[in-house]
Amino acid sequence: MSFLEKIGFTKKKPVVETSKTNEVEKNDDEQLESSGEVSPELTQELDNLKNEADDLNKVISLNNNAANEKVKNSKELQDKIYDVINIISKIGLASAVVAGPAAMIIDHFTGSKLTESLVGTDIDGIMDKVHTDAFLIKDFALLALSFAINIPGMIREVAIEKKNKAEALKERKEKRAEMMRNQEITNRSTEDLEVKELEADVNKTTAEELEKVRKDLAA
Amino acid sequence: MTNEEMLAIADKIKEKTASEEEIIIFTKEFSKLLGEIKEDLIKE
Repeated sequence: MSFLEKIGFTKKKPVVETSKTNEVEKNDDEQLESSGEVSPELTQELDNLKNEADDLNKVISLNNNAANEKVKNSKELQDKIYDVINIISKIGLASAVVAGPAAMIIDHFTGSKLTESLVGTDIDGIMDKVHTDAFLIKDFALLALSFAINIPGMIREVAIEKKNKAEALKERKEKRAEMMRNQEITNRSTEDLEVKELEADVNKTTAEELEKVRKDLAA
Repeated sequence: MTNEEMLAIADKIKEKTASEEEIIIFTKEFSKLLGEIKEDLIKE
């Protein structure tokens, strides 16, 4: 039994979870596509990303030992995997699913107590330790890669939230414009009334003056 | 796109300040990176 299996992270487990996640994401995708919540171009790119992540997970699950050997022997591959891990950690998966296993692996090989003090630990510090030790990254890399499957869903959530905010802003602007239009109409009505009153006043004054002139002439 | 540029957009995505254009570029690049790793893992 490998170390990862001992600590509960079986090599098959992430793939099984991934397929479940895929079903949920697929349903979400279909709903989002039908409701048009993100642009068609972004939907297409997110689908492509999800497919790449799916394929990668299949490769990892089908050829785990061979893949591990390749990672162990290729600095270039390790660097690429590190880039992916770094991106995953940037977007926000690090604390829950990447840094945790990383800390446990480091603890296992070094006897440190990193896992116990994980709360508040600098994530970049953990990632640097993983990166600088090729032996650790060999065990950690494939597990971490499997979490790339979550990225399309996270990006989609951000895009939808941004769009909702933009729509809310547009709605507020439209409401404000309508209020201003209503206010303008009210102002115009008031002005019209004032003009009518003024005209009536002028007419009354003119009539009174005419009456006065008529009386003066009659006298 | 450099890794630093990707990380910069990843930061913006996390902070929810990335534009849709940036998100699309990032998604394309990330797909490309995963594709490269996949090819590296399966090639003899």
